[in-house]
Amino acid sequence: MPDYIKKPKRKQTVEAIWRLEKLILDTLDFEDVVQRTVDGILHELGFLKLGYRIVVLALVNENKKVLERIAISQTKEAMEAVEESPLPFPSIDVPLSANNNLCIKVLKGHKFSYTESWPDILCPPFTSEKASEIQKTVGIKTSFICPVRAKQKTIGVMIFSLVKEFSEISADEKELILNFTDIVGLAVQNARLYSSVEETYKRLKKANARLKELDVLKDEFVSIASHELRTPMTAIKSYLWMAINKSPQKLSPQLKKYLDISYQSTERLIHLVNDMLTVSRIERNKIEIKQEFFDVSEILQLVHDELKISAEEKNITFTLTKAEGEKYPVKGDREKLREVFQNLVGNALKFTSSKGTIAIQCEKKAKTVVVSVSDTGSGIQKEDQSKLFKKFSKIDYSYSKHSNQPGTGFGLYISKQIVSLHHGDITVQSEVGEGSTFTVALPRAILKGGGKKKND
Amino acid sequence: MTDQKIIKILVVEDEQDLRDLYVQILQQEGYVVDNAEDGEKAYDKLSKNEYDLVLLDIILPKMDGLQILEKLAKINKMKFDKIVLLTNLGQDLVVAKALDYGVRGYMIKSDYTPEEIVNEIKGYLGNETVKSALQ
Repeated sequence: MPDYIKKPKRKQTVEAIWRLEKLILDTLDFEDVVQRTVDGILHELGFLKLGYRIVVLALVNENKKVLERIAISQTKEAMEAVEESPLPFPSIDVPLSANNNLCIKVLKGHKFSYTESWPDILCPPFTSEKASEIQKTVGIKTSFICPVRAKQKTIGVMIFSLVKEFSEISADEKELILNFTDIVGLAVQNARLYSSVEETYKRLKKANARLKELDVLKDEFVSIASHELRTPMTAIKSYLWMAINKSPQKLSPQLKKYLDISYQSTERLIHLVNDMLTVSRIERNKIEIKQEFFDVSEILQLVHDELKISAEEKNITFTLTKAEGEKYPVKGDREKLREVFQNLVGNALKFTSSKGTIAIQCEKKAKTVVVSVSDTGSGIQKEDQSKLFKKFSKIDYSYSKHSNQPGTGFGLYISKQIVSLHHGDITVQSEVGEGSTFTVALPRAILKGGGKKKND
Repeated sequence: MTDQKIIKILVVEDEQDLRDLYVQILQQEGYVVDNAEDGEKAYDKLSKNEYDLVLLDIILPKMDGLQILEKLAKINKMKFDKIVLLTNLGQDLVVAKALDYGVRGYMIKSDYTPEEIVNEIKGYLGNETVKSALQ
């Protein structure tokens, strides 16, 4: 608790302190606070008229182990002293080890002091001659040094230099100065904290701007790299296709197999590039979701038709169940949702072995349309289930490693993002060895035009 | 029996291997196929000749696909609905700009097999598809 609260004060003193306090606490900027601190007492309280000429604030710099000059009053004498100084004002540092320097004594003794000789407060860094010379030029008779405290610690000193003798300083003046320096400590401490927060904020802002720049560069890189990758991949894919399908000679089964594998691998690479582009679009919020009304069971039918041959090849029973004549209306992007279900069924095909079952089921609930894709495949461990929908999740890789047709590791991440963009939800239920069920719930929409029939 | 209309297609593609392939598969379908390996040649041909369909790449030497569209818009000669973008560029903004000119469609090269490209082209040409030159 500052002294001036503990002891009863004269009304004028309290008022004057209050005015100064208001003045220096009015701003939080460090530079501003310290400048107002040294000017306030001279100009606001009229101490200039009482013979006070220079006010200096010096604070401890723990890193440099010095008492450094922070602010000096904007007065004629102050400017003269700065002019005469062989060092620029902010560089007039007094080492904390300079125990003969009166400022350091006040700092360590926590008690105010005064001197009529400037070498006491300016040596080091100045020579005694230089300090005396400056004092003479400026015409200062007395310097009054007060400790500046914050949280029971002396963090610096204030030096009041006058053109009058110490004995001429009135008790009121002394009381006011001492009370004033008590609040200076707090104000300086606050301003320092604030300015460091400000500084951090500015640095963060700059870092953020830089990150945004990098993000743009990354997007450019992804789009250029994907173009450059796709070009040779198109040539490989196209000529492999020609070799497989348009060969003038009949291919031996062995050669056909080699070409098929090469073709499929190229397709996987192309798929990977496409997925990378999709992920980059999702992350930039640049993915465009069309807003069309349609019946989900129509796209499920397409997915079923498209993939049933692969299921037959693997000897897997593949069913699509929906209520006869029922519609399952949703609003969104038909093509993107089709990719989601293609992906889910594609995964099921990868992890289900011969004689297994894959079932797509479509259900209409009060507010949602729920599609589930169940398989009797290898299943997913509990601890891995939550990682499934994450980008680059390790499980995604090991998950795909068990398969002879590894995916890109992006599929379920992209699916989840697309379903989320439709305000829907995708979940998984699975038992190792039993199989997995992926469930997609989408908000149910009112189909426009009611029972409009689609022409084939 | 061979009295059907001749269909002319221009393939604008800077990669020689792909250009050769597209020219070959389209010729096999009986189309008359012209080609250009850079933007300037493409613009020159487009401003002088008439085509039933143009397969236009976007990233091209000398003048890119967008610049070609821009110049064509100025001379007001080209029917943009005869142009289909056949590119590997996944940059949505660039593609959207091209589509703004009213081009007919957009295909990512790497997503199509030669057969699928032919089928797409048949679709764009509608019922005018010819087999006249075959055998």
